[in-house]
Amino acid sequence: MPIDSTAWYDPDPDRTSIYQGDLLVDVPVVLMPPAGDGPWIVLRPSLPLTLEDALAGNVPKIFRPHAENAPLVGAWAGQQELVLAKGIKTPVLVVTQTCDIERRRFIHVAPVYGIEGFDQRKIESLTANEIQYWFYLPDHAPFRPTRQFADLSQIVPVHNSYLRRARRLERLTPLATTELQKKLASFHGRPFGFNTRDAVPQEGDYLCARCFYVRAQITRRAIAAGQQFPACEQCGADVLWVKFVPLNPAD
Amino acid sequence: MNKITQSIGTQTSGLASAAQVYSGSDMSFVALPHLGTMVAPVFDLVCNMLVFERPSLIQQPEINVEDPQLQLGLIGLLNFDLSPDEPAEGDMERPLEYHRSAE
Repeated sequence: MPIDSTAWYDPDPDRTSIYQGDLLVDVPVVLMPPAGDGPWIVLRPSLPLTLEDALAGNVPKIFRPHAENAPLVGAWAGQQELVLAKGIKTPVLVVTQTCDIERRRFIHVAPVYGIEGFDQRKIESLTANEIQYWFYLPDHAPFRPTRQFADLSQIVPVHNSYLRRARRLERLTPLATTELQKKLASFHGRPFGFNTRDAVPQEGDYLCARCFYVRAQITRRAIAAGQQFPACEQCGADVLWVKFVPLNPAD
Repeated sequence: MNKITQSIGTQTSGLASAAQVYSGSDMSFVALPHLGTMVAPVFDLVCNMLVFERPSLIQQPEINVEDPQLQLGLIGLLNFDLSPDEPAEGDMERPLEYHRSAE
């Protein structure tokens, strides 16, 4: 089934509530900048007040910026720091399940991007919704003339008060919402295991998860560290070795 | 005591010139003309005893451009922008799962 605006967007959404899968604008998000591109900038109150004074509610007239590794600053010595950060208003896709949107103080949203500059291979993979951590959002003329996607690897929490002032661009259909839920489940909850391309990081007993799920069999092997994981006698290279952690030490 | 970290303004009723505040590792000191140096809590006490208004703080430059680490951090913050996490070649196909073989 092609992914197009007819399949993906509700033409007559219930406007009284925000739903999972709503595409919103006017919601600011703050992403943590990478370490190493520059230090955190921490804020310190004007003397004689200390950070502890300020955190206790004794608000100084001036806060001064300091590099976190500057002498005498002592950043991150305690549990809290005041830091400078950059907030960005970008379209976002609501990820939190609809029932929780009314109940939770913080709502998860994923930033939305356009496909400008993408090569054909990437566009084909995106529009087939194959990329595990991107959720495709087809164009919807005349409202949204460009194809976009939500980057699920950049999901961030925002306080729900920001959603009340947000403007909705689209609402996903139940079909598209189900596809979003499948994608979230797969992205966060797909089975993890080692296959023949992986080196063994730790000696121990390993079980083939694929044997368990597909054949209802238990395949257990002791594997030494430092080598490549072997193929499974049953599954071959499609093996999914999972470390065996016995609940009973006698096992 | 390590270094002068800021000046305090001259909006005082009894002081001829600005006080200086020094920061130590766990204590702040205030130096006043004619009164000498004292720890900050004592300074507050003196302010109260002499009934002069505690001086307000002078606005100093918010960004110390002579601190290269601070400049680096600011540049990083100013240039930081959202961009998607680009997929690797192996990400642009249906992922293998335990129920689906490579064939």
